[in-house]
Amino acid sequence: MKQAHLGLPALGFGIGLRSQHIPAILRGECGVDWFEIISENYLQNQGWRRHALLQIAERYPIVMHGVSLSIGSADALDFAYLNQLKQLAKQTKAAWISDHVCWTGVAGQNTHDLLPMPLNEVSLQHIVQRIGIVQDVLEQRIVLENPSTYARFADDTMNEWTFIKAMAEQADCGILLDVNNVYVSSVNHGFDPYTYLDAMPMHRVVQMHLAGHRDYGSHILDTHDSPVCDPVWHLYRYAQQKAKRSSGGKTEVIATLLEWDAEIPELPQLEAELTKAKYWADAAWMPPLQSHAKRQMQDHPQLGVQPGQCLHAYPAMAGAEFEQLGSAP
Amino acid sequence: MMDLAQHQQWLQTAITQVQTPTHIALPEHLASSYLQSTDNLAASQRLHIYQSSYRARVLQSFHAIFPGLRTLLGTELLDAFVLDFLAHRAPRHFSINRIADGFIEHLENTRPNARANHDGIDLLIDLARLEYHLLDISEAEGMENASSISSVEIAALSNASDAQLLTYQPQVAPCLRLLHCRYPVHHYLNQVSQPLSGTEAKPVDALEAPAAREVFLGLTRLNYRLASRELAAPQWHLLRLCKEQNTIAQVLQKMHQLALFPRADVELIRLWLGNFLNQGLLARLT
Repeated sequence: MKQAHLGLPALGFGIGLRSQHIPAILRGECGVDWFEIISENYLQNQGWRRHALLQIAERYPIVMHGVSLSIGSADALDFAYLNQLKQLAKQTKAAWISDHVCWTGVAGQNTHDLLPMPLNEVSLQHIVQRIGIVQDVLEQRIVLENPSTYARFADDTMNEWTFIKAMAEQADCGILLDVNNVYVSSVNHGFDPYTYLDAMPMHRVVQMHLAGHRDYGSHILDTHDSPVCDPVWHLYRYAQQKAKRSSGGKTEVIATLLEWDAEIPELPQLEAELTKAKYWADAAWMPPLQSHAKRQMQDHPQLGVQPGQCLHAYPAMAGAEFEQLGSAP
Repeated sequence: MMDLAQHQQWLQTAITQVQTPTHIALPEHLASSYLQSTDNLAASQRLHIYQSSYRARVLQSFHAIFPGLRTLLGTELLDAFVLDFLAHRAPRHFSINRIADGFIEHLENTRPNARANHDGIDLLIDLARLEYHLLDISEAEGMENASSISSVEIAALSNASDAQLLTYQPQVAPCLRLLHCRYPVHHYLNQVSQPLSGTEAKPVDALEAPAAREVFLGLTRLNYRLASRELAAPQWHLLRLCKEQNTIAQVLQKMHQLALFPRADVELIRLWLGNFLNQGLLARLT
């Protein structure tokens, strides 16, 4: 039997650490199990936000989630950045370090977006080789997330789940399975999200992401600004169920993180959404309801915001948008 | 088949160059030679999602970094400046908080006339510089233990003889930024930041641009709070010369040479240094 979630801890249910919640968290008014931080917000930062993070890291497990590793870029790896990641991981005793299966820029630029990889054998080998180098530098396995995508290259030769499975197995890294991203991409590219989940090597899934999105009819944007929708809950339960089965029922719930990065609500609303996640994860022990879930999938055009209702919405980048100046509360 | 670098260079260019004024939208037949089309979404529409995302993200970041500038100029004009800047200098840093690196220099270099203050360009640049430095200071090494340090240093300062004082080499706060502005932009920014409460406060869109007045500012961070202090010109120059790691004797000599402070009054310097320690502008005396 392969070791469930690569032997990394089952952290329970967490949320992204955002500046507006920090005072309440420091007062002990937050009931979540762990926090995920956007790594780049704390590198080269000696301000209040880092000061608060180090206090929070003494009380809660921390996971570092980056947006600028650019593991798939044709540019050279940034070793100074990697060393800073390593330092921060030591200081926060991070449970693991994650980023995305993507590239953020080339020729020295950074678009600050998670751009899609060309899905072919050449880029697969490129990314596998670089993951190996990064893991050597960081002296630990990294965990990579499937991004939400809106385009595929014309000359792609494989689908995303084949690419990610091969990448994780060849590079021996972990997977951060963003269930909402699977759903968003399945609608945008027209594939069956359950086929995607079935292909995942579940013992490598260390963490799952949940988030809300906006439906524009012709496509879905991964906006992280609303509650998780029913089809995503069904996918989440299915994924947790598969993880349990793959471990022979021995594994605990895969660490689950609720992402909410725009129009961020107060902590109680986030905690309520996490309670739903616990319910759906518990339901993973129940018999599968795949047919019901698939029926939900067909209903997606009726979900969310209708076209034209939110002209300013745009895809979220895992909370990397600028946060207001950190000043003491 | 294109190689990885070619794929990425093409997509990056297609996403970022759409923001330039001279850009012509990529026709569908060209977009579809690089990206897949489906029944629900054409290749050019798929590309447009990434273009919109890039534009929204960078503009949102500038709005957050420069709330005062946004109030002064309005969103549309600020966005035009930002897009012009990004067309000349694409973001390179791994942190989006550093997306405005080089923006002030770009405004300086592209101003219509380097000498004239056309349409308040000096005001625009001063305000942008202040806001950029406040972000910089919020992430810099600050003066978080200043009260315990300053009491020791102030005691030493009080007990030092005049001769000893002249040998001191004051260390400025690591987060100290000194700004020489042509407008009192710190007052303007305070008004922008004020919550709209009480009868005195005006809506930010009703704020009047400040009248020109030369001001010398010292910016610092004390116990995780950002502070801007308006200084007298000699005080500002004293701190500037301290930043260059001069002793007090050297500072006074240089100020005298530059006719910045004709009367070398050691007691006045002692008083100022004590205030600077208290205010988190100086870190210590060595």
